[in-house]
Amino acid sequence: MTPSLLTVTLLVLAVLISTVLIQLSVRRHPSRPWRTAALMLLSAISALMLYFTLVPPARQVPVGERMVMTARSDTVGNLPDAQRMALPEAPAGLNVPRVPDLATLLRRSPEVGHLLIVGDGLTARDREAVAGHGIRFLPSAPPVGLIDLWMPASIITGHRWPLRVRISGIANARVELRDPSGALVDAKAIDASGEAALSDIARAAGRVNYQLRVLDAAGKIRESFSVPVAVSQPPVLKLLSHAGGPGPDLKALRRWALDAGLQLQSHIDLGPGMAVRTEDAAIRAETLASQDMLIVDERAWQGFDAGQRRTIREAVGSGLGLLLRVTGPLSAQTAADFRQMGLRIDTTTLTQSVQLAPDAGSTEWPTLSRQPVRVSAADARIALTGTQGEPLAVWRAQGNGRVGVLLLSDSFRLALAGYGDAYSRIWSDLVSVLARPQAETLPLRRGNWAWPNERMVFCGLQPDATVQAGSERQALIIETTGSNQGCAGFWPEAEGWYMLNSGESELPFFVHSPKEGEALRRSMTRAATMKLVAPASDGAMASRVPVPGSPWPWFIGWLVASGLLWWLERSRFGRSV
Amino acid sequence: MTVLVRPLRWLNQARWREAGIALAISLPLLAAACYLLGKSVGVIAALTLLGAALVLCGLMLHRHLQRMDEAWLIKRLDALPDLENSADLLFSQKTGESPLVSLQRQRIQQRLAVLPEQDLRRPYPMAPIFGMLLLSLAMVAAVFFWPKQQAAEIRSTNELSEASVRTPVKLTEARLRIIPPAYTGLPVRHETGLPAKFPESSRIVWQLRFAPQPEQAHLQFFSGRKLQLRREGDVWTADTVMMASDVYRVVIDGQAQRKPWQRLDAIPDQAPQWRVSLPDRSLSLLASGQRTWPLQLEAEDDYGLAGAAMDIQLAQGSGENIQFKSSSRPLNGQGTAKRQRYAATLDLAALGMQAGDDLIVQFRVADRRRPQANSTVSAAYILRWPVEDAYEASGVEGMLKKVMPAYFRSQRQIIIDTEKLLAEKKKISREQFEIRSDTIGVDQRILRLRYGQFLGEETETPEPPPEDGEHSADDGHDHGDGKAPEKSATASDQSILEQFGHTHDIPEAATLLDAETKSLLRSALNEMWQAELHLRQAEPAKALPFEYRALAFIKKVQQAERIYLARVGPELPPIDESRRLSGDRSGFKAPDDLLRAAVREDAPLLAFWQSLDATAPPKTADLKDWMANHGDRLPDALGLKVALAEMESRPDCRSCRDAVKALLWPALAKPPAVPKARRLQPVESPYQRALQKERQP
Repeated sequence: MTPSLLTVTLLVLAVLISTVLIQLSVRRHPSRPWRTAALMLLSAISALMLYFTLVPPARQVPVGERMVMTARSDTVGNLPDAQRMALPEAPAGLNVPRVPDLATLLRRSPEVGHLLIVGDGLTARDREAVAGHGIRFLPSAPPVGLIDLWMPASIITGHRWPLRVRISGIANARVELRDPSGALVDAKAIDASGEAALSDIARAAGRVNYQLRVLDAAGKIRESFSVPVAVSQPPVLKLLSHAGGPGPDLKALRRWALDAGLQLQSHIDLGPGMAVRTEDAAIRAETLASQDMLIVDERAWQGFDAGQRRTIREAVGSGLGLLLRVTGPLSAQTAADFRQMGLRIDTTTLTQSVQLAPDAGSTEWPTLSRQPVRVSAADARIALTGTQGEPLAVWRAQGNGRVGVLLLSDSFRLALAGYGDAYSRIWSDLVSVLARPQAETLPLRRGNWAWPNERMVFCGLQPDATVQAGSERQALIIETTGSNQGCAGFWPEAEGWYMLNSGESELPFFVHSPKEGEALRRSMTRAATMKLVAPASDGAMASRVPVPGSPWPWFIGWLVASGLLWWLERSRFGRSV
Repeated sequence: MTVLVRPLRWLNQARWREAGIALAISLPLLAAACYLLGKSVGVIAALTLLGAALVLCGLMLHRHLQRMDEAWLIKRLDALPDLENSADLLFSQKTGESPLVSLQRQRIQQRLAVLPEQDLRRPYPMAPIFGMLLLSLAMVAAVFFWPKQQAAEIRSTNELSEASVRTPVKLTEARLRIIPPAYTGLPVRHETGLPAKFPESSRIVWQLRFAPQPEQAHLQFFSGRKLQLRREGDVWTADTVMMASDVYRVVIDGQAQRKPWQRLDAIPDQAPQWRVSLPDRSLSLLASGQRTWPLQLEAEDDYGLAGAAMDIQLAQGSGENIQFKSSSRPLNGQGTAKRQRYAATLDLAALGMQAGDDLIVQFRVADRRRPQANSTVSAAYILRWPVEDAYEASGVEGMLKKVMPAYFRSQRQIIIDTEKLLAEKKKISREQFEIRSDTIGVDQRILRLRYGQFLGEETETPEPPPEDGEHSADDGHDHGDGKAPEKSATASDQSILEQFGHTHDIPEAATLLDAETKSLLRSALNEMWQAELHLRQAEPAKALPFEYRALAFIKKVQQAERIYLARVGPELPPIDESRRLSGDRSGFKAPDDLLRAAVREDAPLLAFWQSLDATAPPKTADLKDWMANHGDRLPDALGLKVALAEMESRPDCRSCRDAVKALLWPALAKPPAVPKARRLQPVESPYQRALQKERQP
């Protein structure tokens, strides 16, 4: 029930009661009929006037426009003629009335339908207030320096992580990435569009700050920006390996799996009835349900009976990852089994030696060999290619799981030739793609960068979510309804690392110093304001807009009506003797 | 009235005496008080006190003397029996008094005139005077002998009251004069500021200015050393010779400055670098007609080269009969002090080189470092005069060799050493004798183990030969095999192979020897064993007969026909012939999976590094252990130690932790990549399932 409806109800009730009371008093003190009618009419008028006093009817006024001055609005020339208002970010010295925020301005002047934003744009505080208004934007001079920076939200131990930057306004700029000890990690010159890509390999899990430096053509440092890198250790995966016999490739694979901290169960056939196996390496439905991935070679696959093969197929359907390492010719049975899982494996003639593209540097990796088979499927995806674009690992989704085939039979040569970390990355990528998906609900962060006293938004939070800074812990107030369910806002007060704890999961985040990334901040504000630019909505398009009217005339009307009512009630005028 | 002159004089005398007494009593006390005040507060205060006390004393004395008037005099005169209690008559002369009074006055006047001189003075009150004197002396002594510390306390409280007003002492200017050691030839350098880099062993002179002037100041080094600063006018100086890098801070009046530690980085004197341009390979064979061997060496050093020499060894003979001739000759260089080029040509005929000989040359280059020069030794370069029929290929089992391998100390050499030791027995001390005997015993053992290989005995890793004067690189046996395996990362594969590879025994080797040779060798080994036993027990005289017998046996072995050396081949377990091809699988047992995750060497480092992110204060004990063993992996171990100390002293300092993290970062190894599974998207699951069904024919 809205307040106005409640008011109407109460007033109607009051008028009805007064009518009844008037009728009762007429019985006791007989009077003329017109007096009774006048009394009833006056109480109704009085109620009506009271209603309009409380809820004055809107009136139509011409649509207004305001020019809103934001940061650096003094640098914008040729401003059109309009009534100006200044937000707190606007530079001092503008002879313009100031408002604490845009919502206040719009509340005070409801007739405003169009806004002309001048300067750097609206900060996050004001962006939500302008819905339904026509926005135009006169931006200030574009920021100079680092204007965009992208890096992955999650960086995993041992993996190469990329950093893309965009520089504006500095010709022939170079960007440098320096590690926490100050050593140069990567340096690039920006391309024609002002972009550059840098990268480094993540080391141990933990939080570190790299430094990004922007240098101009003369080599002078123009800007320095902290790149917060929170390296995380992912949950341990369970790997089951079945091999038809020992071999160097298997040895390198098992070595990597153990050293990378995976839970490895393995089974290596040595001959009839003889195998090197760990305790939980049997192919059974319950075992497979607890594993994340199964790696088999074609000899081991050949050794499975029909029941085991069906068990594996069902396990893949419910999420298990399956990788077939092709190390020799495939039997028709194996090919048929994989065709049943959607992968067509045909023997062809192919160049067997392949080369992998090194992920960094100019070193040349050893030549590897692949099996001469072609894997095809309607929805096949490629996980690993050689330098000539030849597919070396192919996979497709099968139910909730994924099934893949690896044609590379001697990836161990990489580890042997001293590229152990490259070997580990290749296998890690393969396992990441194929392994059983994990149903973890990680907290997410909207937006990449944060500065003190600016709102940050986290989503996907558990009810017990807290933010920890140093030894202080602050509980978050989480939205429980609406489209932002599970989200919460946080306003950091100081720069530095914070830790968001939500349920079992943690999300470290960094708050930059207000001195850092000025161009980036300006560029973000400008981009966000640009997105708001829109013609006015229908209501504001009209030349006149309704604004709340004044209650005072109605109050006077109510006073007059009530006065008359009171006078008529008290007077003997019209009463029958 | 002349008669009154004398009593009045007496009165005056008594009054002066009173003043004297007052002075005698008060003066020592006053002086002591002034001293005390002058010592503790200041001269002005003392003088003020003196003045005030004198005025006060004067007033008191004045009042006291006022009471010594005529009445007092009359009372004293009346005490004399001659004056018959009528002294007052002398001072009052009224008209109209009775004649009796006049008569009496006359009498008294007459008597007074004849009265002997009277002493009305009070005697000096010795007890109070001495008491006061003692008290004063005690006070002065107390002030004088008061313990220093107490005095300092008085001063410091005094200073504190001043310090609360005045600004704290600040370092206003710092200049360092760096005097590099003379041999570097570098000029004296001046640096402003406290940190500096300097060549090692430089003398560093600090010249610091403070405002206002402190009481004392010193330099506190991180290594615990303290260097007192001396004041010379406005400048405070100190100087010392810095042998190694250190960090320090300035401590003023016992208060360490809250500034970070200042670094003093010693730039070590690098050892000379060498490059041999001739010969261009380590083993060159003598060309036909070659008479000389030209050698060329280039050397470089950061401060200057001192000199170079060439060690020449001529190895002659073969088998057991290898003789060495060693000589050394200096090289003359050309070029600048920092970069020299040395050339020499060896005349082979003059050296006495013959066919089958090896000429081994090594270069030694030293720089000018003091007190200990850096010296580098080049690799050995060998010129070999080949003998055509030394090796002979054979198509059968192994490689055939006519001679015994001679890369270890020969039995003959051991005998020579033993005899030499016995000859010198009287000249050298008992301890030295034992050591040398033991060294020969070690050589004997190595030799025994080498021969033992031919009999298929267990191979032991020989102990590293002791490094002493007797035992140098040119004593004819192979050092490379005797060295303990190096622990470097690059050599680890090799050492793993050595440790775990199957070098248990080589039965083929034994089978390749005929029975006669085998028994000869075994006898030789037995003799060697006995010889070693006695040598190790420091009884070389007893060992000598065994050594001779061993030599005799070895000679016989050498005269035996042939010795085969085994090729390295697969080492399969012996085949059980009884079960062969029988299909009997009973008793087979599957081996366990022996693969284990590698142990990360930097695990303590990693754990510590990660604990720095937590709020709890990190535990540094494990890290310090790690640093003690692997300190060379850290690029800046000193900086890390300082940062750790800083962090431990301020547990809630965030930036200190960040500094430690940054210093540890370079030592963190790159871990293997860990896979991360994709995230399950439950919303899609029913859709995916439907899609899957659609696709299935």
